[in-house]
Amino acid sequence: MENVVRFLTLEDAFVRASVLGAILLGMNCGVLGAFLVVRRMSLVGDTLSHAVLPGVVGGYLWNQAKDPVAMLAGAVVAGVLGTLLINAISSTTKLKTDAAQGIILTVFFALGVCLISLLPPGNKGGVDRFLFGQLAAVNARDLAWLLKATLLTAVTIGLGYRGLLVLSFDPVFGRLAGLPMRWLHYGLMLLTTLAIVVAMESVGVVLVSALLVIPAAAASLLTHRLHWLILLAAAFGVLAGVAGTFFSFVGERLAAGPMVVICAAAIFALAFCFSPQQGVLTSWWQRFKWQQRVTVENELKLIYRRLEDRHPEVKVADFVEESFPAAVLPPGSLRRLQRQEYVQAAPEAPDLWRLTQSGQQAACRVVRHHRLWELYLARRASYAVDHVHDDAEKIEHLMSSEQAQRLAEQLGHPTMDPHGRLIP
Amino acid sequence: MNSPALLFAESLIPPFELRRFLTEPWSEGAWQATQWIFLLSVLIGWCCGMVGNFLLLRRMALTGDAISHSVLPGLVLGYVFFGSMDPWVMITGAAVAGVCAVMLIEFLHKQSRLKSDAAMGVAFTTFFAFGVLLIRRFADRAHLDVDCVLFGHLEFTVFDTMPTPFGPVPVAVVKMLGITLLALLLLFLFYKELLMTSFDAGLANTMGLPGRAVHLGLMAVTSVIVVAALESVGAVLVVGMMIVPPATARLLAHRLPTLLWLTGLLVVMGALLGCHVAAWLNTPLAATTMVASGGIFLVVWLATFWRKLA
Repeated sequence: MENVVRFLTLEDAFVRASVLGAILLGMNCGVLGAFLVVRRMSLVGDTLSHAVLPGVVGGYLWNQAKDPVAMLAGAVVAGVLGTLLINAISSTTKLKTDAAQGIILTVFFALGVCLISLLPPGNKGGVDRFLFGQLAAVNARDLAWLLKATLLTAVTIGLGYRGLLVLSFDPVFGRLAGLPMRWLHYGLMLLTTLAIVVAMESVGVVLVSALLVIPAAAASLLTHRLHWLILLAAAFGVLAGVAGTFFSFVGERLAAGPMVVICAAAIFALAFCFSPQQGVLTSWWQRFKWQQRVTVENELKLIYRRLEDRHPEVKVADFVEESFPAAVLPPGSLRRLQRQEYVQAAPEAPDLWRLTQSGQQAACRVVRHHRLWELYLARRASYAVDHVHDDAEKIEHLMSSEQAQRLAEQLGHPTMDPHGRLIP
Repeated sequence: MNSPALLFAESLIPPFELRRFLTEPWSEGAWQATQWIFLLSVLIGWCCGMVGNFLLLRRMALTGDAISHSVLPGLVLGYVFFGSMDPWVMITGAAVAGVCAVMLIEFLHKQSRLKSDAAMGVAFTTFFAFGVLLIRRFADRAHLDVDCVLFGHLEFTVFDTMPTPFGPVPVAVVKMLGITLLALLLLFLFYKELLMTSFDAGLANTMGLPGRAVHLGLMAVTSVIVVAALESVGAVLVVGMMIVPPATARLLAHRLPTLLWLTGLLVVMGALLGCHVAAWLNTPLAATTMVASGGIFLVVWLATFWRKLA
């Protein structure tokens, strides 16, 4: 508890630093990840984050010091070289992009591992950090780099937004329109490499690719529009970063880097389950509600038919006074209908029931839709009269009252369906 | 040209002597370790290359990557629950985790608008993060070395031997030999199914071949191989073994039987080259073998490219 307060008041300097680091990291990776996910290049993050390793070590070897500029430059060179090679392999051979990515990823990584082993013993600490990251040990210099990278991303995307939009959705059109698609692509790759390199010290190689993909994937479940996607992805990245640092600070022995990824995955899971348009649970719930409605409407129809058969001569259906036995319906459905106030117990006998006013309206509506559609099929679509029922069984649940009204007008306000029954 | 950086770099690379380069690994005192290391890396390469060919044909090259990262939580949980480093516990845990990850990827992909690459990226990084979290959490109980999981220690695995009728043989070699034989047997038994579902899934379906079962079986075998190879070559390089030699073979051949034996040959070449370069530069064997395979790929690629131009 006291840790929670300590975290929330941000009184410790290292908490401030790691929270700020997580915010910048989440924002930068989220924004760039949005483009990767939209362009179906999600695994580029993974490829680049492994492929920059020889560059990082090479930069380290260059002047034998943990000079961030040299390491950064080395990483950028390796990242760009990797991107170019992937393009070259997939365009000159029959190997697909994923195979080319796999080759570059593993061979470059192996090269990096070999280079690490060439380092004099005792000098490997700085490089090891690149593999696993230590968010808790972020210092002012790292923060400055994170800030610079984030600002650069923001400015570039702000300036080139229209071009990047075209690149993301229709690069062929962009090329025809004379937009510099190739340059935009490489610019984006460069920014991604930069983001990966500055993030690696904090969360490590694998987890940085998680930060690139997961928030953007979650955002893509919620919106179709690129600018919303970018903003949402950035917001999710920040949220995951802050939540991850929080849990890692409060909990016992929970490393910050993995914790950030777990939080991002939790956000993704929520979006996956509850996204309004395509959440799994949302759509299950909608399907369930729909099936309930269809069942209720079919049961009302059963009642209507039962009551109607008693009075074939009635012109306007009014069955509120009529009662029917419970055995008309499948067991268990009476209770549901009663809960929705479509039926009520009849006063005259214990096992008899009546439709309520709203129950009668609903029943009439379904039967009307059914019979109007049968009539329409028989008259206008030249269906045989004995074939129209099955179609009408489906349409009756889908038709709106306005559509039924229009249908009735077109058919000249008919009173009888093709089977000679009354249309209520 | 005598900049300090170059001098420093030179001090790291031992001088190249052809005689030493060629003979040292097989000289008195070293050759016993070398033979086992060589055999082990060839066996691993064969296993990985075998499944890698099918993964490549099914355009699932990066699925190997996803599986190799996803097995981590399975390894740790297997250890935490059963409290032993028994290889069978580890292999089972990891295979379960691998198949779970593949099924999760498919579930995410099918149930939403998410593309398969994004689904893969989400699933395997989450599994991996969970694994790293578990390792750090149970660091006092699980003596799993993250370094070892990532890079592997091909050199050290050969010191852990067990007695056999043919004298002491490293445990890793016996294990890998068993898995290679199993993989070969499965390949032999299900060759037709694998061939059909890999090249023309639609036709295979209409012929009534169990495409789904073949797919899941392939994923399970991949997971098992990944785990078995993990301690020797590490998570990233096992993926390389699955992609690079089959991709090189793809540049040279079209037919599946040719692809398979060509992969086997390329693996042997890579292992041999890696073995010698590692002895020369004193670098980790697994990574060096990988770089050597990458070098072979580069040569083949440039050669085919040059032939196309000429």
